[in-house]
This record gives sequence, C-alpha cells and structure tokens, in this order.
Amino acid sequence: MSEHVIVLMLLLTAGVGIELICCLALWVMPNVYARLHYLAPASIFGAVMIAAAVAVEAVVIKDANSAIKALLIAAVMMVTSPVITHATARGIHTRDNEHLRTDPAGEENAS
Amino acid sequence: MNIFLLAASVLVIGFIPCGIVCLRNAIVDRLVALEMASIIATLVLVMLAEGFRRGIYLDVALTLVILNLAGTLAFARFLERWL
Repeated sequence: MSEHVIVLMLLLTAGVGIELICCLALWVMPNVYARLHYLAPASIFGAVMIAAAVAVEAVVIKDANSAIKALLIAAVMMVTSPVITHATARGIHTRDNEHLRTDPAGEENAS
Repeated sequence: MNIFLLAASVLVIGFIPCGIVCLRNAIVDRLVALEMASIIATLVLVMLAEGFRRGIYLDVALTLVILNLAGTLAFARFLERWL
C-alpha cells in the first residue's frame, strides 16, 4: 500500500472520528451552552483534516484546482465558525435574560 | 468504492444525533443541531466531490459553507427577538 493511501486513511479516520464524536456529544450534553461548545472541534479540526485528505489526493492526481478549493472551504469554515457560535450564544442569552435586550419594545425595525 | 466514498457514507451517520436533538429538545437546542448538521453536510459534499473525482462538485460545498453563515445568523437574530 503506497504512502499516500496510508496518509489518507489516517487523516480521514481522524477527521470523521472527530465529527462523529462531536455529534454524539451534542446529543448527550445537558444544556444548550454545553452543546454549543462542540461546534468548534467539528468545524475546525474535522474540517481541516478532511480538507487536507482531499488536498493530498488531489495533488497526487495532479488536480491542483480541487486541492485549493478544498482548503478554501476549510479556511472559510474556520473563519465563520466563531462568528456563528458567538451570535447563537448571544441570541440564546438575550432570550433568557429579558433585561439585557438592547431594544425591548422593538422600535428599531418598526416601520 | 474508494476511500472517500466510504468515509462520506460513515460521516452521514452523524446526521442521526443531530436529528434526534432537533426532534426532542427545546428550540435553541434545535438551532445548534441545525448548525452541526450544516457542517456535516458540507464535509460530506467535499468528500463526495473527491470520491467521484469531479472538481466542480466542490463549488456546491463552497456555496453551502457561505450560506450556512447567513442562515444561522438570520435564525439566531430571529430567536433572540421574536420567538
């Protein structure tokens, strides 16, 4: 078995394993703030490993286009994931604490 | 059946816990499970694109990762104010 297949197997096993563990943890956790933590390893570790595996295979086939696109997808996921997590956590916290709302009467978007 | 198609098939199993959380828990837990399902879907598409050796299928995954951001922010703002 050639080296690149061994590297692919390692990267894909690690990436898919991390994703499945994060999904399982999402199910098992007791409250929403604990569940929100597990979006981070899923979108950063798992995505980078799977994109690296796709890039290794694409470079071996001499298809640099696919390698760059896969790494770009992982990079965009790394940048957007903290934004999503923060916005969701802020929305949930504001929902639970009415006194923290910035616009209680809804005047901002009223026509 | 190459290694990427096999890995994509295994990763699809990750939709099941997300679906269970969407069906059973409160509304904010459903949003978090939806976000996780979006991440899983994007990665499944990336692996399928390489498994079928068509570079153009990666454009679908790239569009999806950007639309995840927009959709999640819309849902989070909606849940914060009106639901």
